[in-house]
Amino acid sequence: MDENEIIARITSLYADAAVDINGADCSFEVYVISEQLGGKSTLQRQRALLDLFKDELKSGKLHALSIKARTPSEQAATSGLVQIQL
Amino acid sequence: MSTENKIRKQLADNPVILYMKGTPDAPSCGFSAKAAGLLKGTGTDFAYVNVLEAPFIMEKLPEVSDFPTFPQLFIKGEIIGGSDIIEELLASGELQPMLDSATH
Repeated sequence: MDENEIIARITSLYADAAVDINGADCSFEVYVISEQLGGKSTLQRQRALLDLFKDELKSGKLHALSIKARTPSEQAATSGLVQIQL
Repeated sequence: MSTENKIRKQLADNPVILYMKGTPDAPSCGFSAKAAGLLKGTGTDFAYVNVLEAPFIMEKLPEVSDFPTFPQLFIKGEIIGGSDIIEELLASGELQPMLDSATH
């Protein structure tokens, strides 16, 4: 699967999302930072994001998808870095 | 017994259960290896199902749990999630009390 396609799907769900992606073909590690993740549990976030790739995960086109999803303030708290929106 | 009822019985009978690819000692996928390794590290006894040897369960469980990928961890019958979530809940300190309350 193409990484631009992955990013496009995520931003279609969370328009403000900053997406960082590592990997190729059928195996990706994706970091998503979005204000819209606030108030959702880790499970709810994972479900919502994995749902975008349901068909590919089922067919095996996407074999491995690791997702870390945080709000900007959670991200700032874990990394000590503050993301500046451009 | 239908596959769904089999799954529900497994969930009812085992307070901590991991549906994984392979076994904790011989995992067949990196995510399953990670999940089993993290769980072992908590010192909690847990049941597991090797879904590679249980194709009907592998097919049916995502529908029952509303979670599309493996591994899948359940505590007291509730879906917790896969290896990313296990890792996050462990790091935040939330997982250990959940495991302790399920097994004591």
